[in-house]
Amino acid sequence: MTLFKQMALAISLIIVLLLATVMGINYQSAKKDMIQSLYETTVNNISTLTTKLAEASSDSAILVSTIDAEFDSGYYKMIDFKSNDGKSDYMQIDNKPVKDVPLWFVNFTAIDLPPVSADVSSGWDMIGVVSVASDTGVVYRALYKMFIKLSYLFVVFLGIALLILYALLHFILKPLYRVQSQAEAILRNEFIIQEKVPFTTEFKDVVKGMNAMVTKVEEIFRKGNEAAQRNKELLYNDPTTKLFNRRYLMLKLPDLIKLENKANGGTIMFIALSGAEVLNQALGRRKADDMFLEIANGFNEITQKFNDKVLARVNGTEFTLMLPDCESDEASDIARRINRRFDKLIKEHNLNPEDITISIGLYKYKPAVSIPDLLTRADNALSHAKADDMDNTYLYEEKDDEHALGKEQWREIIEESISNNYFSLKFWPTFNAKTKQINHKVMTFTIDGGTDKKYFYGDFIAPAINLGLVSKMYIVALKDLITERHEELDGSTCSIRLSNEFIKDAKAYNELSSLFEKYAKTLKFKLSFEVSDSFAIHNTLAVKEYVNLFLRYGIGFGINSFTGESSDFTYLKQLTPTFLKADCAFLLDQSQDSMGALQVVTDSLGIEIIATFVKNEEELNKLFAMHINSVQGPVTDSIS
Amino acid sequence: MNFLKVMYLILLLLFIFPSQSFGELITDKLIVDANAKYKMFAKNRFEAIRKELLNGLKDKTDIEKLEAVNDWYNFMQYKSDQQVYGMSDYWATLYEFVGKGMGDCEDYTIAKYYTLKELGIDPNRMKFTYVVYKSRSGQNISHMVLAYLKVPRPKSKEDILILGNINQRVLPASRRPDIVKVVKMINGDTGAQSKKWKQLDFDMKRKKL
Repeated sequence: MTLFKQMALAISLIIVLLLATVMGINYQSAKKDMIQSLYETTVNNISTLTTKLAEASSDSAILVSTIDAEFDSGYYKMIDFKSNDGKSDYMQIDNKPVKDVPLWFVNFTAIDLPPVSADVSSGWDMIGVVSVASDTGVVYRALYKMFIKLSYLFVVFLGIALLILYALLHFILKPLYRVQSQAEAILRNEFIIQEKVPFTTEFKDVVKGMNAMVTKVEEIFRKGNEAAQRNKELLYNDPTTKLFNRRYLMLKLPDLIKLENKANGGTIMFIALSGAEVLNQALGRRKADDMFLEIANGFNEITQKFNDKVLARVNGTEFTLMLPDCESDEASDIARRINRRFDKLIKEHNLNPEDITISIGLYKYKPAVSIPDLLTRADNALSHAKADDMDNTYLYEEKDDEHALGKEQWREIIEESISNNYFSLKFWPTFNAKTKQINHKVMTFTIDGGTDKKYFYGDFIAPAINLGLVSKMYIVALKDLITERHEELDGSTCSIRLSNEFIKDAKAYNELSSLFEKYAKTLKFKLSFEVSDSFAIHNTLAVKEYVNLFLRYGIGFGINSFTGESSDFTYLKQLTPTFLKADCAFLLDQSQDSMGALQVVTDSLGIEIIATFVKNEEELNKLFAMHINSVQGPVTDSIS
Repeated sequence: MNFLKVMYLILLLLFIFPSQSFGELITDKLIVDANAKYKMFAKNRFEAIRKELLNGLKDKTDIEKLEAVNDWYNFMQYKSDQQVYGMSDYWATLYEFVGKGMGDCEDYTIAKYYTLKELGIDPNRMKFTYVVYKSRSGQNISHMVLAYLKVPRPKSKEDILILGNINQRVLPASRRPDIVKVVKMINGDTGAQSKKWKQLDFDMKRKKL
């Protein structure tokens, strides 16, 4: 319960108590006064009546008429005359229930006004005793009317008092709402400084303290970010060209090969420069370095459209351009442009084009290729290019499998799977290796439409991207996850790796939103989504929209395939993921300094690092030494 | 001037007329209800009141109205409240009295009062009078009659006419030696609203059968 509600409740109770007490006292006092007044009237009436009865005592008919006339002309409950000789006893009584007043009120008020008695005497003769009970209905009616009025007043006063209270509390607690927003932002690892310092002393101190804390954490992040940037450059960048080095390329290759794309693979280019000694002699070391930088800038410009590329200088004279999602035609065009650019550079520096040449070996790979095969085939292509005097470019292309399914066959399979929901969901655990508890379960899906229709995710994702069916496929699988019962997920967290194509699709966003709107509250497990680091870096705004959507429904968000590609971690600050998944090989390759800097960044943002593809105990122990406890991969079998 | 007259009439209709009356005394609905509750004779009685008294006496003098109304109601059967309503004292409405066709002296008085009032007799001139009546056997009986003041301020017994149900003729008080004592005279619904009067007035307005 919020502080506002607690205060409103407490003060409302006090108001209710006060009003009820005041009105209760008012009611009691009115009741007492009315009964007293009625009693006094009865005493007055009986005094007059005894005189009349004394005059009428000579004849019982006159006595009866007198009593009747008195009873009919006034407000009496009873007039009872008892004569001493017992001959003229007469009683008029009205036992009808009280009119216009509900019975519960009569029982609640319970007016007890005993009859008043007086002697009737004529001269020295004691004739009898008359008892008079006034009609208490008058008091009941008056009290009931008052009660109704008091109740209305009570409701009106209470309403007004609560309205004033609401406005007052709202005004007083306004700064606290800002403090609350700031606290919530801190919990979301967002750094918000509250500019408006509240007037109330206590709130002022809290705001100042929180502002100071946020500033410090932001400073820690900034320093960590800078250190990580420096370390990354030292570890993974070529100082001359600012391209990546061989170490980074080797770390990144496994991820790049598996990258989901429509080309079903990509192209790797090996570019070798011959005549480097001539270059150094002709231009001097410094100018030669400048020329290398110009060559590197050329690579960057020519391959600008590829997001997931890695351009690396693997040694002094060799470059590797890893271009996932690049078809062979496109790759050949790139090679031509590189050649032209190089020729232009040679001319600009007045060098002899026969002394300094480049050779380009291209290999169009499939996702199933192994790293050694990839490198060997690209190297072979380069050797061919070097050996050919006529053409310095050689393309080695992996031919499509003869048994591979055609585009239309894939369309049929995927569309059938979408309409019949052939998707079979699989869950892989991520463990906290220290506590042996499951951190979350990662969901993936396969197609299972009968004996002849079984396909792995890796088989159908490229055709699905090509056919533009990724979003539809994901929505069906997600709907299955959210609406069907998956007992193994009860009480745990399920994380789904979102395809880049899905995030790019505006329709998918709306469909996901309406899915959350309908089902998010009824889920028996916690949902979480992951996007790849590279995609998050290049599409931060689009991903941020998804993050906001997830926040609205209490859904988690994380980043996977983290390889420290970006030299600035500000995107992490913007996206505030709860976890960051990185290949175990990448994490273990980090120097102590660079890992320390990365952890400063993640700690300041409250991000947990999870190591993926952890194969054995040895890697696990190394990760422990780096304070990384959450793991995913083959090693989880031994943990579970 | 015409406009002022119209306004005056509207005011009269809006304020004065409703305060003097509580609608038509005998309505068609009442006759239907009386027929349902008390059967044909009761229905005939109510129709007779409407026809013979309320319509038939419209243009008669006050004295003629007094005599006709007195005679008409005195044809009703006398029965004590204990016998009719099972209680020692009960003021029946005109409708209950005529519907049942019986009642005690108070019920005769009430019925005569409301009928005469409907016929345009000034209610302030009609008094509910508690008297002691001496029967032929010499016994004193507590009794109620309707007294009509011929003039607003009567100076003698000649000026007061008595409408009773034992002596059934309309006679001046001076010719009623059987009334040995007048205990009290009270106004009808125009007087002080006692508990009993309030109840009766309420029951008359809702035409309690």
